[in-house]
Amino acid sequence: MKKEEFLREIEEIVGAKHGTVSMESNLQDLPQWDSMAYITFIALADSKLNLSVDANRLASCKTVRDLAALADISLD
Amino acid sequence: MKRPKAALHAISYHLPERVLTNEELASEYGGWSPDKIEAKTGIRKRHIAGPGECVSDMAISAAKELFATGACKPGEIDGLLLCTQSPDHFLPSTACLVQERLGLPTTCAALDFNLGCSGFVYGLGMSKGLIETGQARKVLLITAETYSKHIHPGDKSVRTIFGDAAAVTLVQAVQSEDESIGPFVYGTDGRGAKNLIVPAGGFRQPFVVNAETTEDGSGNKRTINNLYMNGPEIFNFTLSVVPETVSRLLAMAGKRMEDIDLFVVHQANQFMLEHLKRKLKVPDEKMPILMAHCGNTVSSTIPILLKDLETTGRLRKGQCIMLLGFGVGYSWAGSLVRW
Repeated sequence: MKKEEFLREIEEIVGAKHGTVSMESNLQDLPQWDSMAYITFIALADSKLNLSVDANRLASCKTVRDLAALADISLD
Repeated sequence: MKRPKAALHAISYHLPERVLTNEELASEYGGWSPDKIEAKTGIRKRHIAGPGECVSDMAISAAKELFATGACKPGEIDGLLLCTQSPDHFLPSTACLVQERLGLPTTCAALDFNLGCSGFVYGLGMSKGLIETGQARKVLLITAETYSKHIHPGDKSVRTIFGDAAAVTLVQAVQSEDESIGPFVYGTDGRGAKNLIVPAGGFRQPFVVNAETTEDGSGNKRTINNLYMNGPEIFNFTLSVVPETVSRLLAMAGKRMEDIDLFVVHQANQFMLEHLKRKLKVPDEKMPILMAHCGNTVSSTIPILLKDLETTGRLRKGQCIMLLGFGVGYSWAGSLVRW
């Protein structure tokens, strides 16, 4: 998955405007980074990456870059 | 004379009068609009039991409605299985209270069993066992919950999803060569107990008076006496067990996905169901999602969905239906029903 595509997915999940989320964005500063967003991220990893994401590790992520690392995405 | 077969004969359900709308929730919590709540959960409203309204009251209303249809008479019932996790009392069994209030015979077997979202399928399996071993001929399978009484008013994560309800399903003996219920597959994994739990109120951790209210990272408030759900872990559990349960059931029945006319799946929330539908590659028309009017009613979602599908003509005689229930425990079960 390309970096831009990943960021668009995160923007979609948290209901943020296009271009407002970066790899360094703090998750707690995003508009809707809540339990529903966790579930949506798990669904994204399952459907697009065929990957199971541990919910406790997800909860410990601080930035968007942490999410990418958790999903084992090498962003081009 | 050959042993009778068990068949699902009739369903009725009851929703409490009080309604909790998305508009009310949005005005209380902020952040999410009513439309956003519906888009995420698939729910427009939930019915909430009144302060003095208990599981037995809702069960009685649903059962009386079933008797009023002429499906059977109270005096014919010889088995009563009641699935709940919010009983009227620790003891006696709520089933005993329901037996008396419905005027069922004193020769009727009656018991409660404690399961959540897998409860209907487990109850169907037990009903079949009672009937096909000659222990009962007409079993009332009651699923009833007042989860709202477990929920903290400040916990958006569960208050948006769960609604109260009771459903009554009549399973009865028929003389037939063909099986109309089964086979069944079951599953249990107690490692997930902590992820959907009311921690206090039993004897491991007695009810705490003036319990401290805590707030999680998403702003949801609860005490140790309230329902706690780790939604992301429950979602992971579902992604793990549901596809496997479908495969086990198909293998056991010697059927393929194409042989199943309808997948009647526990109505947990719309997002989860839409994802499962894509994962299982089931067409939209074969996996209905109908929970906007009542939310996730725990063990009653499957019978409520069956009843609504029957009422709207989407369930037709002879169809092969896969039932799938999964949740608290963890506990899960699947079965086939020939309608």
